[in-house]
Amino acid sequence: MAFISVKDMYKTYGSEKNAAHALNGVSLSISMGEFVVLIGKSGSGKTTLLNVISGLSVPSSGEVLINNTSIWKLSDKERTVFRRKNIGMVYQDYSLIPDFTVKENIELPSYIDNRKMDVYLYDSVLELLELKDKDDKFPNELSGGEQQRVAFARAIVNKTKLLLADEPTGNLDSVSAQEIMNILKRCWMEFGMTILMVTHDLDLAKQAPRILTIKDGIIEQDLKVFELL
Amino acid sequence: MNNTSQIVLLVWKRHWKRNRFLLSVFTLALLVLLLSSFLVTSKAATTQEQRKESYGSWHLCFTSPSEGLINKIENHIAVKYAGAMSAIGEGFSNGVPVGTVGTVDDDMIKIGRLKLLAGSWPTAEKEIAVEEAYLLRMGLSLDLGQTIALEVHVCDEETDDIIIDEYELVGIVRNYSANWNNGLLSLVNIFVEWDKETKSTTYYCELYPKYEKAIDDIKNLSTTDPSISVLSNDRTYLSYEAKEESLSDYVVRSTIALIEVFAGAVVVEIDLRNRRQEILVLRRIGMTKTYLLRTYFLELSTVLILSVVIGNLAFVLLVSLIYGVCYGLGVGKTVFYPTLNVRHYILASALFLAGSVVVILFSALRLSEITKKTNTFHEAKRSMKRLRSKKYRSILVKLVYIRRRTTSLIIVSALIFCIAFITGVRVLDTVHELKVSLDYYPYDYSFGLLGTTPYYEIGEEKIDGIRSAYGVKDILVFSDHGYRNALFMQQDDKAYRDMIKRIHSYEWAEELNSNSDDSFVSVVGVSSNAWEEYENVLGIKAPSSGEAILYLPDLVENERGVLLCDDLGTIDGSLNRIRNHSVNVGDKISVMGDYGEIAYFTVKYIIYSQLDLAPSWRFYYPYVLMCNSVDLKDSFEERFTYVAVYSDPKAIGYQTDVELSRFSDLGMSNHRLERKNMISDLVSQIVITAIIMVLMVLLLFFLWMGAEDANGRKTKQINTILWQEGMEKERLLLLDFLSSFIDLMKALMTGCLSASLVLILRGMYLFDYLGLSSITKQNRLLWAISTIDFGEIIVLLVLKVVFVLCFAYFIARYINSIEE
Ligand SMILES: Nc1ncnc2c1ncn2[C@@H]1O[C@H](COP(=O)(O)OP(=O)(O)OP(=O)(O)O)[C@@H](O)[C@H]1O
Ligand SMILES: [Mg+2]
Repeated sequence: MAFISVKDMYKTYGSEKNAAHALNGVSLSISMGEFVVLIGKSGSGKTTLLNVISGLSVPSSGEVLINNTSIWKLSDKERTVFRRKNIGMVYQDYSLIPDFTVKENIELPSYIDNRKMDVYLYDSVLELLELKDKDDKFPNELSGGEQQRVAFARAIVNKTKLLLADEPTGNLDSVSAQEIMNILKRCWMEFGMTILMVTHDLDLAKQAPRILTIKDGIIEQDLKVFELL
Repeated sequence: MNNTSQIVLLVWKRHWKRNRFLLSVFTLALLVLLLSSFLVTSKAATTQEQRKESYGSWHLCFTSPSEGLINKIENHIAVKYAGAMSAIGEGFSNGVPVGTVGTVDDDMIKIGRLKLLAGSWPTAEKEIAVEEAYLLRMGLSLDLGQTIALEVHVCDEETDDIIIDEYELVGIVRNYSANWNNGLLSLVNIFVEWDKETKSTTYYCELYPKYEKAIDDIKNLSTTDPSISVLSNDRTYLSYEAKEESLSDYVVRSTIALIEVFAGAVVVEIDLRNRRQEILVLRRIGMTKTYLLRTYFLELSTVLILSVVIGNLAFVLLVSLIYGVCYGLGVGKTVFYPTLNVRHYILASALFLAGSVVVILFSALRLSEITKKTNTFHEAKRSMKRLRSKKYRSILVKLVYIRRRTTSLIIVSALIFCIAFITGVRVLDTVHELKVSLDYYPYDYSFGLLGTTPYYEIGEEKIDGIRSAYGVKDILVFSDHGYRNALFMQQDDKAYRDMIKRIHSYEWAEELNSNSDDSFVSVVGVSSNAWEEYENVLGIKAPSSGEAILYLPDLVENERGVLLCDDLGTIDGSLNRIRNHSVNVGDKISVMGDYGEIAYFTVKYIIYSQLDLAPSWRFYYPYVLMCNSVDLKDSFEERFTYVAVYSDPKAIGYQTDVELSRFSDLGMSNHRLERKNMISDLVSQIVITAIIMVLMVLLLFFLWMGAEDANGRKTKQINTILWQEGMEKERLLLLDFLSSFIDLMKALMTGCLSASLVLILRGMYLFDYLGLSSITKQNRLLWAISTIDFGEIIVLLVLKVVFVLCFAYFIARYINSIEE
């Protein structure tokens, strides 16, 4: 049974005259606990696909099922609640609130969800991400890699099921990027998360067990690691 | 086209949206300034017109001056008009007095604002023009050309001439005499052409406005002839004080101007912040500081000049529109008299321009400061420090906190709220005046000056006359028969009696025979129809013949040994209270009459309070005997009478004024007219306040929108992150609403608190000490504080909070955006 299933997904930006067809009939399915990397040229529709799956941008047509819930059939409010309970997002620009400390940024989703943050999980994730002594710092006082780790921590501490990451290593040097990749792999293995990651870095992509390639809004290849090797 | 202007043009094009906002704020600010100045001058002019319309406009008058004096007056440089009104005699028709017959000259017609409703002024013998009300009173129609038979009793001590003749009615004069307090002057009601000499001529002068101060000089002209009395204009119906440009007007105007400049500063600051990134980039790619300054300055100057042009154009357009509407619709000058004080107008424009230039120069200085800070890291560090100290706050509080607007924006809003609060209080003040007038004078007219000598005797005949006058519904009569020796026949109540003597002696020492062992009572008669009120309030019935009501309030001796009557039970309970009289209901009292005879009364009730029922302060002294006035006529001479008149609401008020003005020798007060004036004052106050407030709110709106625009990117960024992390859009809206609301509330509270502070300082006479007493006197704010109750203040505040709620909602709707 697929955990994520995308069917006949089309997404067009703009009006008819100068329309940009970002997705041209994407279908894919990802099982529970898979680690998938999405690669493709700039402008091929990776971000668009991720946003459609996460419920952030409205598709022109098509269906997205996550854990048997068709998210685009939910109301806006229901979808928002569904997102915050099930999907963790990590972006290239980290998306941290500069006025909040690390701890506050991580705490934010549970605050929005009106619940207490899992303190044990928080501690162990911070330990894992080597942010232990940085949790009262502000984002501006951290390096890019550290900031991205905070963004991961925020996603992991609050939702352990599905993690969508859009070029999380895009702004980082190769060492930091590898660190992030290691974290992702540990998350995948230790917490049993389902992960869909977009990247440009083929070296990183190769470390994932499954790679999807996208071109002009269509899934071109679906490779298992051994095929690529 | 040179390089600089090209760049300015380019920058203008790029910055159009931002500059449009700057432009609208500047323009609106200028418009508020000019328009409020215009409205204030117009209102003053309208009041002046109303005054002239009602009372005429004369500065002083001479009664029966000599030929020589007239000459001197007429040739005096300060005199604009000098007109004469001469009374020939009293007119009678069928033996009934129908008004004063006399003449006026042309100048007097101008001075007195005498107007013809129809026809012309008499030019030939046997032609007459009559005041409308007097024509109606004679029972005649308003047809011109009719013949009227009159007998004129010429007023002349030597001869007792009576001229009996028939006259042709050639003109109907608009009622005017009712508006003049003709105490000593005779006002003509029936105008004739008369070429013989008259004995009673009054000479009125109106001065040129610029020579108004010469009034004493002209008064001195008459010192050679002491028999002439000179009267100033305070003899008009409702006393009028020359209204100078008051300081408080200036204070209000300059406060508005200050707000304007402040608003400009805030807007420019916002603009500057918007440009910060751009400026930094320009500096980095090598633009020189002076170059940057020049372009920036040029750009803002064009915005400023454009806004001055547009603002002035809009103002001129609006004013001509108002002029057009007023003249097109024939709106009378007494309703609204649009008056543009060109001097004020130019001054306001110049002030605005100067203030704005200062603001721009100042911001240009800030600009160079920004360019110095090529590294924003420093600043980031500083703000981090600030934030860290707030770490203990909860996330919600922090979310609201980081959305805070600039402090100055809050201050501007606070100032606007402050003005709104004060004007609100001022309107309430007028409402209060009206309420007090209704409370203390629920009747429409009253006769009799309270507590003055010589005593007025009104008499039954005149009371009947008042009662039967047009429009009179009900009259209440209170007669005061002075202090009388009295003897309590049952009890010897010496202690209490001495106490009362002490009280009375404060006021009427000479009247009291202190050697006598008798008591003194003041004897008061109350007409039978007035008892209803006493029955309602005190539960006592009207006494019948030979019965009386005794008023024995609690006495209290204060620290200084002064005795007070605790009529309302309001005096401090800790003071020594005396109520130990031994008078009882059913006791007999003998009171000495005017002619030595003695009247006996039985005490029917003893009352301890008069509440607000008594129209005279004398009624508040103890031992007042209140009887039905009918009883008193025989044995007690009347000293003073107070008549309260209720008019029929269906009657034409003006007509009733005219009717009752016949009795103005009795010291009439026209509460109806006072109230009418108060209401029209209130209406114009509300209208002007509303207009200024609407403009202010518009300004406020622009300001906040501008600030939100500047803040927009940050808000949007945070909103987007929150939304990505799963916050519902409704909650985001609520959050935006909450933060705007808190900011606005801060402004509201600051504004209201500072307004209250102004009010309180005013109450403490602080402005008097500072020599700014005109602020205090003009608006009677001390009085306002003592009378406005908390309920009203709370209503005022609730209204403002509701406004803030709506306003915050609109702002939230405006700023609430997410990047999807
Ligand atoms: N908001 C938008 N409005 C219009 N067109 C858009 C918008 N966002 C994306 N596009 C267009 O849709 C197409 C796909 O964009 P998308 O951002 O998904 O590419 P991408 O694969 O993520 O590229 P990159 O690797 O550079 O991030 C592009 O051609 C882009 O121009
Ligand atoms: Mg992308």
